[in-house]
Amino acid sequence: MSYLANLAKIFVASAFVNNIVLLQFLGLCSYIGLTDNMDASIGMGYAVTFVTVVAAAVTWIIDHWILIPYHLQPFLQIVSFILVIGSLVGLVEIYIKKMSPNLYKSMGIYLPLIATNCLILGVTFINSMHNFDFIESTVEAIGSALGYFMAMLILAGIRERLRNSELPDFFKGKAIAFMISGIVALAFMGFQGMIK
Amino acid sequence: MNKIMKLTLVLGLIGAISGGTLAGVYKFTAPVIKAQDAKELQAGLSEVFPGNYEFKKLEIKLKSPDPAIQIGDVYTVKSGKNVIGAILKVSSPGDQAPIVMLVGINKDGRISGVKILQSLETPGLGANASNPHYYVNKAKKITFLDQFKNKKVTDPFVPKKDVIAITGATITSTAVSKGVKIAGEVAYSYFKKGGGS
Amino acid sequence: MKKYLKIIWNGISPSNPVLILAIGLCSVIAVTNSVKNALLMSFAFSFVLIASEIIISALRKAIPNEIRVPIFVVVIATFTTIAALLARAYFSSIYEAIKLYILLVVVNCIIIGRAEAFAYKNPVIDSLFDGIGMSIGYSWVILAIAAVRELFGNGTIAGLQVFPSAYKPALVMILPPAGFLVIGVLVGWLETTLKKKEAKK
Repeated sequence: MSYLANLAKIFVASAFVNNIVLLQFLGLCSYIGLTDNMDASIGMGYAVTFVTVVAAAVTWIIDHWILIPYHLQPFLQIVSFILVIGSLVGLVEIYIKKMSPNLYKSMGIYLPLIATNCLILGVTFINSMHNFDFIESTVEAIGSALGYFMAMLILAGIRERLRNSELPDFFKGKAIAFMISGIVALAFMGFQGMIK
Repeated sequence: MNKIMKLTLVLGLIGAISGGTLAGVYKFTAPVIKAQDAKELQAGLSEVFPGNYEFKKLEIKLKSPDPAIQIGDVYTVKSGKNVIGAILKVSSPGDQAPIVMLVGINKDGRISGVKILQSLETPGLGANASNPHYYVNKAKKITFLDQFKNKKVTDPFVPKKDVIAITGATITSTAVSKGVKIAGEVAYSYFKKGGGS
Repeated sequence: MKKYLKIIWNGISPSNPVLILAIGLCSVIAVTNSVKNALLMSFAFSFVLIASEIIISALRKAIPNEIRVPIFVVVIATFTTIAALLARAYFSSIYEAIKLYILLVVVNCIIIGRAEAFAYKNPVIDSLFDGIGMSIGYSWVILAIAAVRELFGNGTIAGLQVFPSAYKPALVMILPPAGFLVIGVLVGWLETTLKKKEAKK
């Protein structure tokens, strides 16, 4: 298999086959919490996509240029990754606020929520566990973030439709959101055939 | 300014304490982890090559023809003074994380055994690859890994053709088969070039 | 003494972190496909939560307000790493299966939430009991879900055969989708009972 085919496989695997939200359960807090509002879901989707990709690149550099060469990885990885992501989110927030007030309006308010979103840290750990090189890590990050975006849009769309339908009391609110996710997850398991 | 200095100092101090504590805990757990790994490795090696043989780690790197599959440590299997085979540690991309396994290859190009060291496959589906009670052939009680024993490295190793796949886990079945095939091929060509003798 | 029991009870039921507050869910769904996984996860979670609450509460007068969040994060990350190293050393096979979720205890909203809402404002002993209560609250929920899923999905509990081997397991129960379904039923049941209780008042 060529290198390019390998990258394509990583992308498909992270976006569909192992969808980070539906099959790996990362980023669930915002997934359940924000999808009752379509606009919020879209804003959060953009913000997460952006930060995940930047974070994956930066943490890869820290992992491979500092932590591994100095044998610090086994015990300093968690602390350094979380601090890096925290400061990164802060920097991105300041930068966007200055450079593009419009963009800030659409995704800025979600940025503080992201620092503790387990998806971003999760992707960086997954990259490190797989021993991915720099490009593979970036592709995995893009795939995972798009997978998250897709899951957000699917659930937000369905919940928007549900608002006008009559549900039994039992299912109202979060309960139905979880159940729908279960069924969508079942559907996503069908993507397994996409990679060989 | 004074305030910022103080804040930085406090944060730095906490960071330093944290780093120091972690280094201490790591120093304490590292030998335990190392001993455990060594024990598992030894058990794995003798499981892949059953019998009373001597295993020796080689300081060489063998290159894998597939970028997705990585070949790690290489061990030779010795019976007395003769090298009768090799064991390769390979990692093949599984469902969520790489499947790390030991593959034993006889010098004549037959697989002697396979053992999965690390994997993160879906429980109930892919995880059955290393389940000793999951049989792909119930009548003969052959597990998924058992079926590789005595296969020739020149066989195709394709699930649903010459490999019986795990139900509902095509990715895992393919990943393991591919890893075994590549390890086999690499080791066999290494022997043919005169390595290990 | 009564006060402490009340703090503990608060974590077990009235403000159960998982069911009522619906936070920290990632790990709940991910590790509940087997009781063994859930057990190790409970240990790791409880260790990190209780230890972090004690340290943060002890240092609360020394922590400047402006940088409290980064400090909480460093403290929690330190204990998470310790938990991960210990789990790797002594329970390596289970650890390998749920590694990612143990590492992600560091961003578990329950822990940082309790640090901010409770430990930073209360004395050490109170925080210790809050940590114990919240840990029990988290653990009983994930162990219960894990027991149900493993029992129906595999016919076993913690690896011990419970159903006769003639029972054909409903495999879907230990697959990811059922995690969502089980939590959905649980949340629905809880929310409706709570609503009923309120209506009675």
